[in-house]
Amino acid sequence: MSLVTTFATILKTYEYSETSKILRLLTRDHGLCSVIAKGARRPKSRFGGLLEPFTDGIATFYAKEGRELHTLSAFELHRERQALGRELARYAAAGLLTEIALRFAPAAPDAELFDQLGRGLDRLLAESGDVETAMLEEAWKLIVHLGFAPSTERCSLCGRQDEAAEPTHFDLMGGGIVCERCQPQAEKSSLRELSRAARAELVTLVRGGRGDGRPLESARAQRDLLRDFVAYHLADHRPLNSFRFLEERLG
Amino acid sequence: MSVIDDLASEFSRLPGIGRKTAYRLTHYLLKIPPEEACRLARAIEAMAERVRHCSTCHNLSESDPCEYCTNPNRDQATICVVEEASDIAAIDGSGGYRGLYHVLGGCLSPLDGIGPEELNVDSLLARLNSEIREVIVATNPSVEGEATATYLHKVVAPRGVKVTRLARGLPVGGDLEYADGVTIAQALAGRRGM
Ligand SMILES: [Zn+2]
Ligand SMILES: [Zn+2]
Repeated sequence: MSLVTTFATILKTYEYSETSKILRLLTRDHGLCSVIAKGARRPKSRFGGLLEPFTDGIATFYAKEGRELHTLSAFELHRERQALGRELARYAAAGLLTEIALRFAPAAPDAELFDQLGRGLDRLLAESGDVETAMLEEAWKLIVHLGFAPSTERCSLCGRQDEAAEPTHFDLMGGGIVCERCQPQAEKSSLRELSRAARAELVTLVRGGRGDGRPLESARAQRDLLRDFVAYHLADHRPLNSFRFLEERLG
Repeated sequence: MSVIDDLASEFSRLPGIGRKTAYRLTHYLLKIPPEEACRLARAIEAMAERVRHCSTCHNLSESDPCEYCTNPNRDQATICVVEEASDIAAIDGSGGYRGLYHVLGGCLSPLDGIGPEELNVDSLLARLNSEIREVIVATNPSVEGEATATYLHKVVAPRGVKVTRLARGLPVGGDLEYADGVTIAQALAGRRGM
């Protein structure tokens, strides 16, 4: 048994027993971890009200060899992001970023992924421009960092440079755009049409986005493409829950 | 599988009960007089057969509509919205509230794919007749509870009904169900418009 102290972001909390909570953490030094916070549901818990999704802190826990659930001994608040709950677009967007981390973070520690998620959540809190655009930019940053950058400038099947100014098709299976010549080889259900604007904006998104809060012209198409791309390449062909949430009428 | 294993495996499906505790409970029931164990079994059976969701407020009750919805002495102009039926007991027990209730059945959660359509929101909106003057949102003081309150305000306020939220003082991240009566009564009394 060893005592671990690491920066951590709370991704999700579960009620456990009458008084305890289980937390899924993305930690800077130990990757994804599950910890039990005993007594955290008590109103006068020593953890206070800090153990909430999107919160950053320094977690101390006893890591048991071969165990999946560790016991949290302390959580020192670094940054709370409760305000994300006060606007549904920001809340849904933060849900998407944390779901990506929760589902696809590698078992090995990934400090850059941890930092990127933190920057993404901070941006969602502070964004004064279009929140959906910020969400798409920050989500692609995580996906590109995880090693799933799609091919947006060369045909994903033959590798030829494709004329960037033209509308094109995106092949989910191939993981990128396909040139006109290769398009018949792709499976129809795997193809998504990209208008000229959608294509140009996808190139920008995959490169890290504009970051200026101006709304994307092709926001809806980008959201659908991101949903399908993640489902296809990372999630056993099932869309992430956060996309289902985003598609509901949020008032 | 023996009947002992059978019962232990049923226990281990309950929240917060692992394999060890499941066997501990099973062996406890083997030690007590058989009629006591049967009384527990009958209580579970009766509950499963008789308790239903109230079709008006979604509270759990043996009658439909439930005892809160049919009680003429309760304030018919106020609806207190809670996440779970178990929160009603905590709020009612505080003595600070005598109006009607509405159970959402959870809170908005992107990661679980729970949006407004998965909650009892439409049935709440359907209850907003001219008699209802105030909706008190008593979701938990958590980020999910806050988001749910934000949403309810967005859909209820345009109907001309005052929407209030419990005052701070309930610990953030805590659970309404486990807050003490005095704290809840204070939060109710200090509720503010959204
Ligand atoms: Zn090609
Ligand atoms: Zn009722």
